[in-house]
Amino acid sequence: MTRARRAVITGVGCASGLGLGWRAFVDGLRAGRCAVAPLTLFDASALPCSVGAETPVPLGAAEHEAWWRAGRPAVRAAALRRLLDARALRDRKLLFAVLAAAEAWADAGLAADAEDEAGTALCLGVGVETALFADLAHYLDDSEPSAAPRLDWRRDPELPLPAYRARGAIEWMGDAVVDALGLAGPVALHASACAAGALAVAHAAAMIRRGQCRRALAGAADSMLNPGGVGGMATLGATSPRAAPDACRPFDRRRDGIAIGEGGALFVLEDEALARARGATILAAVVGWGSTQDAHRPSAPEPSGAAAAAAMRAALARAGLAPEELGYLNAHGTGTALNDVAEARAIRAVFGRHAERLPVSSIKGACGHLMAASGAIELAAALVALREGFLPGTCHLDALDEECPIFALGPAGAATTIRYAQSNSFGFGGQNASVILEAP
Amino acid sequence: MIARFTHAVTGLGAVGPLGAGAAHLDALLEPASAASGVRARELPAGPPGAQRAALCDFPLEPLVPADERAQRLMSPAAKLAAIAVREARGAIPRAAAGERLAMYFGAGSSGDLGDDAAAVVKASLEDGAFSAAAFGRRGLRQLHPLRTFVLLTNFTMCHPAMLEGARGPNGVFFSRGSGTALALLEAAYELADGACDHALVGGADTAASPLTLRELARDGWLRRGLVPGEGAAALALRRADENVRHAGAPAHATGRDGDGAHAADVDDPRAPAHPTDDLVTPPLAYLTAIAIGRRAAHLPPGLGRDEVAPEPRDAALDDELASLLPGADLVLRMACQPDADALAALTRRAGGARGLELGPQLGDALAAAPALAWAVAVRAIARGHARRVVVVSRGLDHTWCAVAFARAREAA
Repeated sequence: MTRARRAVITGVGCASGLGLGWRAFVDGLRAGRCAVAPLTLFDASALPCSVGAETPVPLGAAEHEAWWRAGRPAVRAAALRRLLDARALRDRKLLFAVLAAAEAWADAGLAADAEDEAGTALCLGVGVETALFADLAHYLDDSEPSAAPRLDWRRDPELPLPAYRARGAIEWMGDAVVDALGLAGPVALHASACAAGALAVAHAAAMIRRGQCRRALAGAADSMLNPGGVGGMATLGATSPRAAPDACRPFDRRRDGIAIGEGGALFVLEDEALARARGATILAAVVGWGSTQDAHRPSAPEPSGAAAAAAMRAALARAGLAPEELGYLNAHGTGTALNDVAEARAIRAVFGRHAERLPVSSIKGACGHLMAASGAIELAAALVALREGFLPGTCHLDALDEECPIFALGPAGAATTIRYAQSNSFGFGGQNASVILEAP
Repeated sequence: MIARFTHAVTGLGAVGPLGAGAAHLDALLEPASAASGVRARELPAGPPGAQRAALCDFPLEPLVPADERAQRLMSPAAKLAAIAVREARGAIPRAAAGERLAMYFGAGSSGDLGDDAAAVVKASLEDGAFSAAAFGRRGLRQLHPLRTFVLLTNFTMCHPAMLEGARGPNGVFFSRGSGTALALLEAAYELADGACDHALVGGADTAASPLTLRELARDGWLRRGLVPGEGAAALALRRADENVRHAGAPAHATGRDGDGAHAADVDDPRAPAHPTDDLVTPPLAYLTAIAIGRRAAHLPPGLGRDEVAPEPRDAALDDELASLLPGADLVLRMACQPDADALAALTRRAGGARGLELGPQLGDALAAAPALAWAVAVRAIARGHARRVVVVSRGLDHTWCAVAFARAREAA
């Protein structure tokens, strides 16, 4: 009998407020560091939200270029030149995607400029387009004082890039990664809000299991740390009103909103047979995934958590696991009043009594909400739990909300060894995703 | 790689420049097409002067199955999607469990910064330039509090999902063409795997937003002949074996013809228009194969090259796409310039099949373009214009796709 193909992870790359690279991410989580701090990327002092978790990268053009040339061996030289010439890598979403992709590629033992004979697919979670108000100002027409201002789109209609970018086109992230690594396979851009990163990894695993590809680069990157992004989330009421490092307190009874983070995580997934044949180190297997929709309301999760629970159950079923076999759950855990309660209800519904001893944590208090990339960076946290002998903690969780009756780990996390870890991601609009990893 | 399926297309919905309702697409199939989607008009962005565009010249709001309050949260693409999905959903039994109803969509940038964008920018100026501090002090007050929801790409699918109670497996693929093909492929696989009983799949988009038009102009697409379009189409899918297995299927839905079951005649008075029980809707057509390919990697204009240009030919990909053509009696083409000629050359391999280029009538509706072409194919089969139709499309995102539909089931 032919054994079903398994998707395994052979490389990982990370960028978050905890630092650049997998090691910085692990060390930051182990130390219980919090990256949320006053924003420095722009003057946010007058915004309702003025803190976030910025990812540390050089900002100056010359410094930026030297930095790239020094330390990214997996990025093809010609592609790097093109990206730098076009100033593309100063778009923080693209920067994080290429950084994480390059690290994952090298971590998997794959060489730069190698022919991509495996036809590597790219499954990438992407976020909302960035409104670049500075460029829009060029089109402002308020020549008639009595009339409402308008944008005159016919002004300089063919002003080229990079002079004109009214928005950061989200599809460029995929093009940049493909060009940087010379990928030859299909490209799928998942636009599923906060579930995008998880769905991208699930899609890659499904493609490998079905035989659509033998290798895939999957994950997500995002940055909403710009005036429109922070202001937009603040006007929605999603962000914590407190300008403090503990702005995001998942499952805590005093929680009052999210802190915005930025960054990304990408994984090299391979058909296990391909990985073993080339002697690659297997970090984990992607054994289960599920997706559902709340079909409830645009602005709030379905309060019972029923659809979220269904996604978790679908992932367990695909993995062939009983709920009791799970050793750790990385929660979506946004730190908002409604999400955490709904997720806790979902966890109780799926795990029953096991929920009283199943360790659960959220890393959003530490590195903020990475939006479209949250599912990817949090799957990386689940990988930490499998690889590093400790379970990441929940920063700023001091007093568990009684409406969240789960075994939520506090800031210190826990030292233990587990075999299966699950990661939840629930997006605006009601898209739910859950992914399960198995230790090698 | 070609993926083969035997899924029944049980329902169809579409809205576009020809009108609301999939039946409007029939005009494209008449020998002398009565369709007139493309008109000269002034567009709010792009090079000055008259542009050709294929847009919906009718108010969408009365057609959207949502109240006024809900519509305020919907982008134009989400409204188009809601209209198309509601029509396609009519073919799925009301009793079908929402948990077993999957939804996969291709969606583009909403492009809808809204009427408040100019006010936000104006209030955020200091010394003539945008200031983040001024944005915080004054500009933000001009921003509609729910604007972010309108901008989120996935809401193009999530609004119809809420309206139709679709709670099963799902995905939204960013699309300038290819993502919509991936949505169809994922829906087909999920059905085949048994993860769902029904799937609603399609695409919705508009190229008519000022922001999108401005980008199409900037990147050279308009100069090279791209006709901006808009619309949405949705297909309701079900595994063909499930359709046949249900005893309630009308006889004409399961008759034998060669290697498989017949599709229903869409004009057959016996066919239920809006089933409300669990009778299985007779299929309008069968989805039988999907092939998706991407040519050599390209950076978009501005990221390494100056403007769009015809892509280099890829013989292996051409062969793969063309392998679906034998046996087709109708080949539909949906391609953006400047690759329409290459697509036409490819589809000539179908020999004596009738060929039809849809772009001149429907324009390029970006994420919706392939789905609208699939809807035309299903109508062609259901109306008896063809027995096997292959749709070949090429999107702005360098992806080429061929999808085969048939009146009869084909061996997978």
